[in-house]
Amino acid sequence: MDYAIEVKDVVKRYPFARTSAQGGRNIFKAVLGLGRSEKVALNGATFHVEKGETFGLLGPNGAGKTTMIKILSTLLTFEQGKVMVNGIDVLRDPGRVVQNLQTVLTGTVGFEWRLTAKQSLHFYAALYGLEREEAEKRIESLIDAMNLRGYENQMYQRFSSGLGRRLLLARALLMDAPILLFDEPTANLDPVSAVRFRKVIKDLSVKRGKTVLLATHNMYEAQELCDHIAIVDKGRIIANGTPTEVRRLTGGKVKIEMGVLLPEGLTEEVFVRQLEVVPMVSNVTVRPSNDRKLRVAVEGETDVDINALLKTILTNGVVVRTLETSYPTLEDAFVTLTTRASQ
Amino acid sequence: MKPRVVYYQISALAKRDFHIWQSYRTQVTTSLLGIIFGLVSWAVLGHYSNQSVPEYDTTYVSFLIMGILIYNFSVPIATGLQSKLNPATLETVFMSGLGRVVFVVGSLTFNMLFTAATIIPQLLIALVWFGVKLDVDYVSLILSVLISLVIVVSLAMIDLGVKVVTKQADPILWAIIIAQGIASGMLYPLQALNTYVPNASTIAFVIPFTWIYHLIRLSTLAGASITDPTIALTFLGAAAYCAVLLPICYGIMKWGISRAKKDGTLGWY
Repeated sequence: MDYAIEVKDVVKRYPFARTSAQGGRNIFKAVLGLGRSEKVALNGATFHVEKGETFGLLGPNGAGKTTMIKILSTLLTFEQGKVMVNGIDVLRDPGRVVQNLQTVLTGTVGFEWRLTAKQSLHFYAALYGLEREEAEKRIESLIDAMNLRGYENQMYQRFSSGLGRRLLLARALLMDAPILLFDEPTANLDPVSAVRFRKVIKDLSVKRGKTVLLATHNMYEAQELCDHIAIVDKGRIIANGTPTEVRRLTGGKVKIEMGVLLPEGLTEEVFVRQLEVVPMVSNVTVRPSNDRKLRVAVEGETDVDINALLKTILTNGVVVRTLETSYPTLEDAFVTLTTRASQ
Repeated sequence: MKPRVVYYQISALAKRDFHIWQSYRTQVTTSLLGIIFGLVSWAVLGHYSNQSVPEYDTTYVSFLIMGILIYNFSVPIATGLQSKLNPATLETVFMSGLGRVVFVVGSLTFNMLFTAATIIPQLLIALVWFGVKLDVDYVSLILSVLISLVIVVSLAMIDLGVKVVTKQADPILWAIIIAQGIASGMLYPLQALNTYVPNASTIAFVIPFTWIYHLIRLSTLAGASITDPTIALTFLGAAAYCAVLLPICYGIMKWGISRAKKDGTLGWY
């Protein structure tokens, strides 16, 4: 199958230079590459991204997410493995790779502080080889699409983080590349800007058919946006699948909490025993409230049959006053998986 | 890549630098005045120690002022890439798929145009105020400028290749610039060096800037024509020097960028 991105057994080691007490490096050692040890950033990472999907690369700080993004963007080379972008080898043909993807790196890097937004966009349009008229047309439409109208003649140094991110995205969309990479897309954004930015990313995938890869440690963002995710830790992919599949990997339990009113003649013990025999229920705890009112907490496997549970309750004449279910979150799975991997 | 696209890319880099440059208006004024005051002070000094320089059939003040003009034109271009290694934008610029050579040439274009423009008022001061006498052979001058540009772009490539790895001073270009101040004939004729070191005036041609000073002085002060076999041989020598220098410098730049990509330090400062 033809994947948008294919990463196979990639190993990347960074040279780790020993510095002086002042933090500086001997210039000759730097040139000759002496006095260095190595730190493994990616250790056999393997995953693929299908065309048109939104893929999340999740991991704690220092896990290797940014390294992966930079390898895909041809800013980094690696020692072993293979990385293909739309079937093009990133080491052999980096020039063609960058015509297939655009990257929004973390923070607000990428612009000269003393250029206006429009000057910056024209600058990059020329570097991408766009004809002047086409560039002008695209820049005008992106200024509107990214809500930058009114700011286009302002120097970049006056931009807030939110505006900066929008300008970065406008830059990334100039070339209309089929693949977009985002490194921590909503880092340092206020909640409202973050929600807006996520909507833009979602629209890129859903409405414009772009393949999106985002590196993040924001679990909510991953759950909200991604069709598939991979959890990377210490340079290895430790889990891979849809967000639901990854959530289930850790064997997390679903919790059903109810406030119920027992009918006359049904004792608490009998009621609990009836619930315990419902398939996939593993634990039932009861906390008396007052009179015949109870707080019941049922724990079960994630595919517990809630219908069967409710049927058992209702056929006994029990009145359900409140009901709340909670599934294991991606965050729970992430914490369990990364903790397990570090052990 | 299409020539038109390369033209867009080079002009985009030059325009970027122009926009940034003109946003520092006070600095623009002070730097222009600094160049002119510097020239005047050297010219006054030259005027008071005026002698003839037979090698170029000219006076010392003409020799010296031309040396300063050449310095003001060539050194800023050779060292001009330093400010373009901007950690905030370098990675994004390279992610555009821009070729290394286009990056170097484009990043130096504004510098070249700017220094060329500043030479005009300096030349006028030299001619009107200090009586510098020019004897220009235009064909030689065009060839001299082309060879000079190849040399300074090559030196800029070394600077890029080393600085992108060390993230601090570039000892190679630093040494070349120090050597040109002492032994390239900017302030005094090369023959003066022979008093201290035998054959120093010949050895000095190892330094790239020596060729620049010599060729431009030949074509602007001595009116040397390439139809003269001796002069033609000098130009051929310079071209051969460039043919060796350029690939070495390109190799150093390529090595530096590859090394930064391997080390993951391309965007570091």
